[in-house]
Amino acid sequence: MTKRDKILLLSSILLACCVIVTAFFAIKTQPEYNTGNLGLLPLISATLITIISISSVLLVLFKIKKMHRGKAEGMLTGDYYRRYEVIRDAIANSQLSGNQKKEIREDLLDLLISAQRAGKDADLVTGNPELFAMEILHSFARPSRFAILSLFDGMTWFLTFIVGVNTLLWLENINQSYFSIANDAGMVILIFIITFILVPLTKKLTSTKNPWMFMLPLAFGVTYVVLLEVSRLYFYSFDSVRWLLDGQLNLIPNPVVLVCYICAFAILVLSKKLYRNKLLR
Amino acid sequence: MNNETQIVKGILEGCLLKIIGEQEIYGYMAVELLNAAGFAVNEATVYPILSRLQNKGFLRIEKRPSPYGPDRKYYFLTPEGEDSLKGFEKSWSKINNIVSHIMEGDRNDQA
Repeated sequence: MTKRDKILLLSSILLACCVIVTAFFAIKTQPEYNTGNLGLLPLISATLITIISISSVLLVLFKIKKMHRGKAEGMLTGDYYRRYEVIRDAIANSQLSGNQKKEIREDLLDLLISAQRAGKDADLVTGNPELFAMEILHSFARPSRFAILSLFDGMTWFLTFIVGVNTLLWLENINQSYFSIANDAGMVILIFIITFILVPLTKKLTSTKNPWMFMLPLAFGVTYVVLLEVSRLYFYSFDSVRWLLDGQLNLIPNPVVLVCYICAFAILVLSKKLYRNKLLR
Repeated sequence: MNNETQIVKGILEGCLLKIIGEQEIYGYMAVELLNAAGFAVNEATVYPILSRLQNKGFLRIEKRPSPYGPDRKYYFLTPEGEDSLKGFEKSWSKINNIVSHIMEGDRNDQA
């Protein structure tokens, strides 16, 4: 396992731990917990979150193992492998299709293994690996087209998160109607930032030589929580801060909206597929 | 990206089409052939150009087993690639004549 892989694994473990601790902390702060009237559902919900978090770590571990399973990748050594990792990650994080990514990976391996066997210096072969990866991506489409495809992803994930969080909150309060569940304004803004800014930014930054960028989601999460708490302490008198901290938004107020979300999700996934086929190749 | 880089890339595209039209090549071989011809290029320059040509439909590929690593991709010209090569040869000849003419004139002026 390379340093890059270890940092990626560490970031996923820390993120999972934060999520699990938060889930159980939320249960402990419920009034029913102290009176001993806590139902089974909050526990099931927290357990579900724990299972998903642990699964995500296992998924990262599996992906790392899978990446190294290839015999060809094992043939690259030292600087060649480090540079290959940067290019491979940039391509993997791109909007290209699975087949296109696989094809590029195989081409790169053939090129780099041949150059390595010829005794060439890795730096002379790849130059700046980040620029190399960018040039490969530009050979498929202009950056603006990739940005449009990222926007499709952002919208799809936003809808998924909203419905997912709503469902989770409803499971914790199953006696309430699904359509009366309200989300914290701060939570909705966090979801918006994660889906439209943090995920694309993390993908971009982790495609560089600096593996510590994998810690960005965790660092952002901690900073966001700290900022909210600091705001509560010092700026609570402001209306906008109060709304951010205590405001509630009901984003699925009735079945029609839920159906619209589900339809929009399907349309977005399909549109992205069609748009990608049209734009890339 | 500066103009010089764009011009070199355009020329490299034409040269690659010509080389591929004459013999079957794979990525690493393309780099070696261009270097042998006098260009100082590396894999990071040539591979994106091959990829671009393939995406434009100028090249078709054939995968064959490699002595090491994954299957190796061999490149061949498509009819569109042949047309593009003819276009490049025509443009290059014209540009070459113009530039040569100007350069010779330049030399005469200096003399």
